[in-house]
Amino acid sequence: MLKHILKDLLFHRRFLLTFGLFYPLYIGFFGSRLSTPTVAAIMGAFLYALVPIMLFSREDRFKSVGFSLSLPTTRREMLRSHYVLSWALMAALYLAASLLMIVMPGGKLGPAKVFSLQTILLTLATMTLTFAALMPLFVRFGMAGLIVFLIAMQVLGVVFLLFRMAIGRSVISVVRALPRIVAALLAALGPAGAAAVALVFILAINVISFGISARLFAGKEF
Amino acid sequence: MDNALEIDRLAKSYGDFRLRDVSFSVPRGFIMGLIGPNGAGKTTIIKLILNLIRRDGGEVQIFGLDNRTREVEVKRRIGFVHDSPCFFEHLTLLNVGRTIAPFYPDWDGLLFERLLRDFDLPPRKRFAKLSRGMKMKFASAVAMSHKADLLILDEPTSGLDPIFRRALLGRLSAFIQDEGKAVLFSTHITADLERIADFITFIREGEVVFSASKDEILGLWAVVKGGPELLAEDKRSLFKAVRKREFGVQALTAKAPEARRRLGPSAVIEKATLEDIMFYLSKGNGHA
Repeated sequence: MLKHILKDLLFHRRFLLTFGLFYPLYIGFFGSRLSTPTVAAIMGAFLYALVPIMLFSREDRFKSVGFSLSLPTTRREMLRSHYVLSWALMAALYLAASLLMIVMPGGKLGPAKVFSLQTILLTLATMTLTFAALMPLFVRFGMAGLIVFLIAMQVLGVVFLLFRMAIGRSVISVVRALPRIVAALLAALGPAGAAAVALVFILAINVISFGISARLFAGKEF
Repeated sequence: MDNALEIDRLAKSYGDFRLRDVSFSVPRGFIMGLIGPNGAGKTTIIKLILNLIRRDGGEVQIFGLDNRTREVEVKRRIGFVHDSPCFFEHLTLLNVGRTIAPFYPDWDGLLFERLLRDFDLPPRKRFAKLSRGMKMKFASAVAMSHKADLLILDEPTSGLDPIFRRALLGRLSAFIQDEGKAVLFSTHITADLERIADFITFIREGEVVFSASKDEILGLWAVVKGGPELLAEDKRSLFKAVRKREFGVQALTAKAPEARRRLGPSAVIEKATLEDIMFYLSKGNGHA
């Protein structure tokens, strides 16, 4: 697995340098202007989840996946390394952006808010859901999968609007309820219990996503 | 005979194309040429060997190992040259080598650098900046740098200048001097195969037309030229393909000695080249 990761790091080093600087700066600056970290956490998590997908889409563009699969490896091993590298990247971006949020001149957020358990869990949950949904789509449809996802998000917006018209309640209120759900979880289980539940949730979602991706990747032809 | 590669009733369908019951084997110590017109299924067979596409049926064994259940072991022993090499475009040749090396326990960095020099490839040039011929040279260098036992080359000589083409063919001949090794070589340039191949497999429309030793093929196949009497019912059975020309009839036979005996001086019988065979047996050229 390590050889795949090293290969990807070497292959994508310029892309990683560019996005590794830009995204944390962008989210760090944007988040530091806000008085609560919730919006930056959700938006940032969504963007961090897009970075690995964009990274792997470069292999699609250069048609190098076929070559990688002609090396002594299995599709499962390659996919596993993609998941591990993705999580390492997302975690690094998240950490860098959070630190920048704190140190950015004129920032309103302190370490206690940025690194509160609630914010961490919220970020991880959003990141997990986005990445876990995107990865199988990307594996099956390549770059087109990413575009389908983004279009689906737009369609979902319209559906939400219709939902609001139909039942008179905004879906945004449901999304806004997410931090409250996390807070309630924290209150009920305590920090350690909530963290454990969150970790199990993240792991389970990733395992399911990996399982679906592996099945899709196994049937793909190059 | 101990085989490096054994393909048994391999099948694959996609769209209108069907690969049907393809079977052939490449013995250790020999070069097998895979020929056939465009779209015959040569690249499909190579992709199936490397598991780049999924087979619908049949088996592929490399040095006695199944190519799916023992995928990593099998691929370690294969050196592969793709018909349009796609490495990591933005990396220099040296860095491409560095990314590939960890995958092969037997990767020989010094040999790789020596091959780059021998093939006149600038190590610090980006892969994307290479011409098609240079990309093929580079792919050949990579395939030979990890002490592979089986080289699988898909159109490796297309785009190469004649000097390097000859040099590459020389290297392939030298490669199989170690009798444990073998080469599967797909090409349109049949002259290359006449120079180095020991066995030939001809594929047409997803089926094996023949798979035999080159000497046997060149000894048995011939082009027959004569008058319209060649079209007589009792003689037609001699021919695999017949073409009516303005000044007579030309036909391809796989029974050259019998044709010589039965036709006598009434026809001119010339040894067929692989190109003749491919030409006559291709769709639209009068194959019987």
